[in-house]
Amino acid sequence: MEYEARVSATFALYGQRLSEDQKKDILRLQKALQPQLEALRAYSLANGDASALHLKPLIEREKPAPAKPATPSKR
Amino acid sequence: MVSDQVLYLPLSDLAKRIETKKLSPIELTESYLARSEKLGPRFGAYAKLLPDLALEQARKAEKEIRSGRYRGALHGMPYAAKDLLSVRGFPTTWGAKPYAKQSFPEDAAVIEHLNRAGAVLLGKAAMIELAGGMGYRFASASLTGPAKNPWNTDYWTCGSSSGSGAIMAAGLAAFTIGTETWGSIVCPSGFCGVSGLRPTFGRVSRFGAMALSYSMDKIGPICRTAEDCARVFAVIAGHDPRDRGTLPLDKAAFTYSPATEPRRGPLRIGSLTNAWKNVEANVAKTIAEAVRVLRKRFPGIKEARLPEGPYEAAGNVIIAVEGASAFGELIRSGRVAELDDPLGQINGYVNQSISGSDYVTALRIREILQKKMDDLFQQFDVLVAASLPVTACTLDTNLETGLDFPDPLGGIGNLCGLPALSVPCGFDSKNLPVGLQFVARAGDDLAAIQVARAYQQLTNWHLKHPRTV
Repeated sequence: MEYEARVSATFALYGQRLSEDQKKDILRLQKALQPQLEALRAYSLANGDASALHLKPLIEREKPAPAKPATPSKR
Repeated sequence: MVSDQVLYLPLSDLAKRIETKKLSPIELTESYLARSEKLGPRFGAYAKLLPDLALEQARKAEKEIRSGRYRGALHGMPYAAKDLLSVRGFPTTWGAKPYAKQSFPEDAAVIEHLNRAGAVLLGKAAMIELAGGMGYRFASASLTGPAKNPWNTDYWTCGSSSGSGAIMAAGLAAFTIGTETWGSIVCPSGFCGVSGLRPTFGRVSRFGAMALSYSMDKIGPICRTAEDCARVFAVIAGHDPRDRGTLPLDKAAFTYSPATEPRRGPLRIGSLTNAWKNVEANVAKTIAEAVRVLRKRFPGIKEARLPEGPYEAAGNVIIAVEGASAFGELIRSGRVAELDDPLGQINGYVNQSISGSDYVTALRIREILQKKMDDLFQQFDVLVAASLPVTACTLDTNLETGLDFPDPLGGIGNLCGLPALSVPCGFDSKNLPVGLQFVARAGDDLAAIQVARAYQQLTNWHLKHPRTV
């Protein structure tokens, strides 16, 4: 099952710091998450349906900070 | 000292008294401070009071006003800011033990705006740790313990702007600043019987504010009335190059004066029939009555339906993934174990495991949803529904099971960055407040404000105070 794979990955990374109760809770939470992920994946999307998080190119930059005076390098 | 009755006045009334020099900002500040020192601990309302700073700002405001330099409605007005907004020289704890000693060298943009307006910062409002970004199971999930509802201290204020809600309901400040990623302004406003505005995403700069979800965090006022919310919003809104999420200058700015509200055709209001799956009988009855009252001013109210789809799932995934990134170091280092809440201690691990592909799918669904909501707003200017399907829950409620219900309106509203304004509209049989929310098209915060203000001109729920205070 997919959620069990996620649980295994989490435990592989962080298992040593988790108690048995916390591990059980993580298993429960991952199981509850699975239907949500499946609902998203089942939603009909075309290739051209773009993401609502766009990059805004940084065209209008703020004025650059004044250059710091050069410091002689130590040798 | 100023009387309790005056301390509960709407900001708009206090401003008139201050402008005409009938009310001293120093006296008002001292009165709110004294009340906050006395009652704040009872409600777990504040993370920290800042009396020296407040009195210094009040003295400055009074001097300016006496010399004829009145800056506007917030001049000399005492307020509290959620403890995730940085204030130079003071701790900003984000409500969480791992950040208890944290401070920043700069004021948050919102604090800068309020300083320029001459407002007086009384203190930092308590909050749920990390604004609930790692999840939480109990109301006690905060560095300062649970915030207690001034209407009945056995009940919660809701979160994550928990202290902001308590402060307003208990009459401890003239206004507060809260934040919402999903529900954190609307829910405390509803549970505490006060008025709270979640602005359109991108109208208020988040510079200097704790980030939880870069594409969903919003900052807004919690006040006594819709008009008060508009006045505070007008001060804190605006483009800020330091927050790349803010809208352009002409779209972010908001100006407001009740006397010069723009005239527009009759507002078209849709009463949502599917905002909540199950509404408590008490709440449903109160909301039906509120809509009946609203019809006096807006007789053309029609039924409306939200689009259906996996929108809550999309919102959950976006917040989970962005939060896992925002607090990646906290999770990886294991310091997440220092959080108070047992769910908060582990949920970050779950959120980290969501794939990038699922995250982008959620973002693509958001784009489609925005268009569907835009279609709905071709028919309606404002949608109305209960702020919540329930009233406040008890402090010991397991929130994972006791306050876990589908929230399509909250999911859709926050996913699309839509403005919402929650106002009190009555009480249930336990004398706990019921909230009514108005949701508008992105950018049309004014429509929600206008309808909420019209409702408050027809009712007096916003003037009620808790008897326990």
